[in-house]
Amino acid sequence: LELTYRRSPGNERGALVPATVEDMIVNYRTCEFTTVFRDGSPQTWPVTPLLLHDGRFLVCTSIGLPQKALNVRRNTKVSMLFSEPTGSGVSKPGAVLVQGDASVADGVFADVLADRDLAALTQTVLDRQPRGAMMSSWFGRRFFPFYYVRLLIHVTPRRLFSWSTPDGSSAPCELDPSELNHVG
Amino acid sequence: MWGEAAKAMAEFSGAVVTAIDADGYPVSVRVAAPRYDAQTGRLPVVWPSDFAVTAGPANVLCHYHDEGLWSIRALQIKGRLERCSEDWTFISTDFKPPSGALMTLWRLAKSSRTTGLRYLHTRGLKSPAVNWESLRELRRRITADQR
Repeated sequence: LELTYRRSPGNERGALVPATVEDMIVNYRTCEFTTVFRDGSPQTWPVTPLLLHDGRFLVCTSIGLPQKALNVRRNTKVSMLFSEPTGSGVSKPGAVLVQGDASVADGVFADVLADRDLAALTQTVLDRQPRGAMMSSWFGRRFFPFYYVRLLIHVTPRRLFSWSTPDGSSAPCELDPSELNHVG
Repeated sequence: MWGEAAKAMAEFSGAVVTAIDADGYPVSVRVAAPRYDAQTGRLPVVWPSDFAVTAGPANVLCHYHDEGLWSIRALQIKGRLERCSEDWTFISTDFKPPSGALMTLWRLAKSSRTTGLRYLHTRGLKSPAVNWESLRELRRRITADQR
């Protein structure tokens, strides 16, 4: 696996973050987010996550589609696979797997500016998905009244793997998840 | 049934297989060229030895979005992962054929409204008023950034 490395701004210890891994995490439009259902089976959805400054991830869902959050409240173990490069502009797409522990913030959020990280994630989605404006139009408000009533899920990475191609059949490179600090 | 799943899967560029590892964490790998058997619903998966994946419940997700994160399509197959000598195989157990875009949107509108009301009711919460001005403010920021 060929990786180029980039020093993270503000990283006083001098730990190095693989630039290719960072590019995939930050620029891929979606990741495949998995939570565990009450019967022990994995449930996987494509979601847009945001890497936060402290190395955690933020994922949102609406109260109209709360299954991810309900699963996390029962079982905190989750994973995120970044393997779909469409629209990312990443020139040499690979894949990144994050395994971690998740928690659901108390309450529901109907004001996207009420939380700084929620605002950043919502702005990212609005920017990447121009036609998503439909969800705040008359149509969206009428038929999806809870779309912008959000639940916040934070993921703390425990293990981090990367591949140089999207296909996961080869041996991955294991990285230190603490290197994600300062990247977001 | 699996013939329909195979036909639907062929419309995607790859499939993501997810199972559970020995520590209880989900673990996913993308299969770039899935060899899904339309007769048996079986999909061979090469699982790197770095993951202590376990036999048991698993799923397959195929999804697509365009450059503008739109035209979203997805396909999900439930199943289980089994080990046959040294090889791993995903074995399908349930699959719902994808509906057309309009039907999917209609069903989603109905179910998300019902589910949202139930979520609030269960927790004794009133339906909160969405702050639409905050969304307009975020759009203004995007427009300003693009200038």
